[in-house]
Amino acid sequence: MNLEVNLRAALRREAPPADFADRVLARVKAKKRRPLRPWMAIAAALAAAAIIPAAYEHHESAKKERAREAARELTVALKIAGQKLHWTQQKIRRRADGV
Amino acid sequence: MAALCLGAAGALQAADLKTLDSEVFDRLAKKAKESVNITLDGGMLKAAKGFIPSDEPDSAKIRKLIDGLTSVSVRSFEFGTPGAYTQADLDSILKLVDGTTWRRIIDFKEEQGSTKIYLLPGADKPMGVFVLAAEPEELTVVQIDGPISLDDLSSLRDLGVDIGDVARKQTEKK
Repeated sequence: MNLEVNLRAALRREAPPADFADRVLARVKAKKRRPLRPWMAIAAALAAAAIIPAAYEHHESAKKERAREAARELTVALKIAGQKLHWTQQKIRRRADGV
Repeated sequence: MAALCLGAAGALQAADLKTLDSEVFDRLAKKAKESVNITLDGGMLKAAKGFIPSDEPDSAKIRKLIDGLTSVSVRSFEFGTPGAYTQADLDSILKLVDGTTWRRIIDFKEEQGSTKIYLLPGADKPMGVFVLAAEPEELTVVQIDGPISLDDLSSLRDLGVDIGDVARKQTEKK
């Protein structure tokens, strides 16, 4: 019986202190207002200036390499198709000529 | 009526070699001494157009040929011995075009092997060509979608490109 009473007491709903919401909001605002240190801003700008062109160049060169490879494959694909058509035409002609 | 509509949609559906990669071509590639697997869609064809070497003897012809094409696919296998592929493999490949809007224009049979050529009819010129060339130790399937001149295509038979070199590169990539 005592246990039940103790549990009820422990789990009883309690209202937060009156200034609880204000304190939470004040903390959030304080965190937001922390200014970016100048050295951090400069470092971030320098990193971006170094990384973005290099990444762009890498992307462009990979794109060109893919296009070059596609051009090679296209040439081979058309050569294979052309050969097969040509050989078939030749065979049909030879058969028609009775060779 | 619904069945009729579905049937018509199926007949208009373009063949796509990619759909047979896992079912047929990947298995044949494992048996092949050399294999070529090329699939280029419209975007890749556009990109490739600007990179065809100008010292390529037929570069102008190639650029003209690929104008308007929407895809170029080739699967080609060179086996060391005969009997690497079966009639069932050929039937699976031909299912892509048989009973569709593709029209067979050549069915050339030899003592050992055969060549079948299909065209997708178009107003001025064919809107696609499909070739299945089966020889005892070699199997080649070509599908080109888009307006194409067969005369121009068959004149591109000696471009000075080593097919074996591309096949070796593709094998190394695996």
